[in-house]
Amino acid sequence: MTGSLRRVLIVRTALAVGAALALAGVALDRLIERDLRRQFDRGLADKAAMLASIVELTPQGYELDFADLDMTEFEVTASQGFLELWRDDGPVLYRSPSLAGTDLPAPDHSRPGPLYHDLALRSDRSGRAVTLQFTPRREPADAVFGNRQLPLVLTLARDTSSMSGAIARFRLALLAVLLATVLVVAGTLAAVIRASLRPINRLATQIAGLDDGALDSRLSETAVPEEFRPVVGRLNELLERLRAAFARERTLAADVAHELRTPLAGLATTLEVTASRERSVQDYRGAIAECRLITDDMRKLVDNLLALARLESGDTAIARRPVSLARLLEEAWKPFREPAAARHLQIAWDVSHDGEVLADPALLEVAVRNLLDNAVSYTDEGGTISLRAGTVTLGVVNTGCALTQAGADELRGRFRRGDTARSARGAHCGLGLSLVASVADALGADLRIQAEPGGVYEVALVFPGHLKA
Amino acid sequence: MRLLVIEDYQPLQNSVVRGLREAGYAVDATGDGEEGLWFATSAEYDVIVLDLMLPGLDGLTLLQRLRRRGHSAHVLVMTARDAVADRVRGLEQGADDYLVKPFAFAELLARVRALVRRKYGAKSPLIRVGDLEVDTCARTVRRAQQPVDLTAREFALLEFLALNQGRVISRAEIWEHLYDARAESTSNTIDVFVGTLRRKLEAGGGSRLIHTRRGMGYQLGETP
Repeated sequence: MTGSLRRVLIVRTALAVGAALALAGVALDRLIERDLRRQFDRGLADKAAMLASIVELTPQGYELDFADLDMTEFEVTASQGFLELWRDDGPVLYRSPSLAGTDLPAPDHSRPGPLYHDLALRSDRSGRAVTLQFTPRREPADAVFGNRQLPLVLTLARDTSSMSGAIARFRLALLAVLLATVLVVAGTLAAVIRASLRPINRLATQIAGLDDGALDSRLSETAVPEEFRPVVGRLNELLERLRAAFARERTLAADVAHELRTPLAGLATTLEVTASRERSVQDYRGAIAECRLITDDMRKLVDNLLALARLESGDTAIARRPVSLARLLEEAWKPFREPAAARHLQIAWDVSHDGEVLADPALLEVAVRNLLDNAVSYTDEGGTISLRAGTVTLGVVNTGCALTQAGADELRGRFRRGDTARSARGAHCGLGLSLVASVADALGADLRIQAEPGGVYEVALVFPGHLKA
Repeated sequence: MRLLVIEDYQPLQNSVVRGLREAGYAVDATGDGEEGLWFATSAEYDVIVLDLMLPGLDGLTLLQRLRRRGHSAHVLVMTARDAVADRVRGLEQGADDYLVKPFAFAELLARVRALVRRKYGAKSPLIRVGDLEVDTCARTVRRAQQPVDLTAREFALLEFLALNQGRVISRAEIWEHLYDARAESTSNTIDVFVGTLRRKLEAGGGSRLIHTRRGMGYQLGETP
């Protein structure tokens, strides 16, 4: 249905009302007409019966004494009624003056009871007649008249033109009334519909007024008709999701800018100070190496921020596939072999290959990479990293811990608390641990951290039993 | 002049410390808030360059504690937080200046110098002692209109003496203000240091400006 709802409503309702009224009109017309005709027929029948009752059969013959009856209709001047009387075997006993010598039809009257029929009267007027077969009264009653006991047939006809006229007038009036009703109804309908649709117009205006800047506004759910409440409710829901998405986007942009500031400052100052005077080739090399480390930091930061943002927005569908913890750890370790060797780190492996859990391999890999990165970066030079994979556990332990337990706990909560201002970085720059915490959360695993300053730093991802593949 | 840099991001700490040392300052540095507070209260620093987001003790809390103890070191706060609310809060907590990362090192240096000047009440960057002109802004020295070539460390010593001109500065004070925590030295080092500076200042034939006060220290002035 396209086009104006209002117009369609009005037209359709008007048509429906019109059709209903038309049907009613037709029914009414039929009923009234039938009633009138019945009454007419009854009048005919009564009169015919009355006429039949005054016919007497006397020894002298048939006697018709109409003196007591009103016979004006049968007179020539009136010519409203027409009467003819026969004996059953044919001979006409009486013709009313109005007939002026013509005959009325006498249809088959073998069946008992009055017989009604339409006929054409003189001068093309239509009429209605009743034909009656009867036996006349005998006067005296006990007389026997032999073969003159045949039944008589009476036909009484009347002009129906006045009745037809009445019916026609009635029909006209009915039509006029119905038309007027239709018009009034249509008019009222238009007004009512327009008024009823006003909340919709208001809603439409409100919706038209929504834009990116107005995401805090909500459509009123009470000022709308019941039928629209679910729609408005859903719209409000969508507005909320949009607002949250924009807010998250703004937060992410702010976070990226914010987090990158310090490494950028490191980069800027290193370059500026290095360039401030002539230096040895070794110095320059050192500065370049430092800058490369810083850009590495920045890259990791951006990657982690993006991963965190995606996790938070629910964009990534978390897969649940069987993942071999040992194999994942071994694969993830490969790029760290060289950097670890460069820092003279001892690596201890403690893996069992029967550890398999249901997890999202990509996400888990990101988390593990962050853990390994932290370990390789912050273990004291010459220290030890233990890589562990059990049946449901994945752990990285390193010596040379510089964090306190409180510090470590703080680190994992960075995005969790939505506290973008407090980025606890310290020794572990790059949001790595908070990302691991988010991944653990998404995968349903438990992230356990144990930090002992000067001692050992232990991080473990523990998957619950029901996630065992 | 002695500075304390408290910044946990190592590459930034390294470059800032290097830049400041090359500018002639004695610089101590740490990446931890608690350690920073300990440093700040155990030595006399002219300016403390403080990052706000630190592990252990965060910068603002450190600043609060410093001020509560009546510590009067000038503090330049260095941070990634640039919102007006943050800046106002930093200054209200007792910071003397606020620098948003990333920044040009030259600006950091200039602001540190301004804070040093403020500490010694020298409004003008130009200090005159007799025919000696010490431009703390341009880092130049002229004696009788002739430029004197000093190393950054020598200039720092001269600047310190000049800012305190007329006052006798003890060796301990010189030690405190011109050597960082790593330095290991005897009082002889200072004497040698002062001697070298003296020689350079008198090279053009000018009169002695750095006077030795036996048992007390040194004094920069025209007349002994």
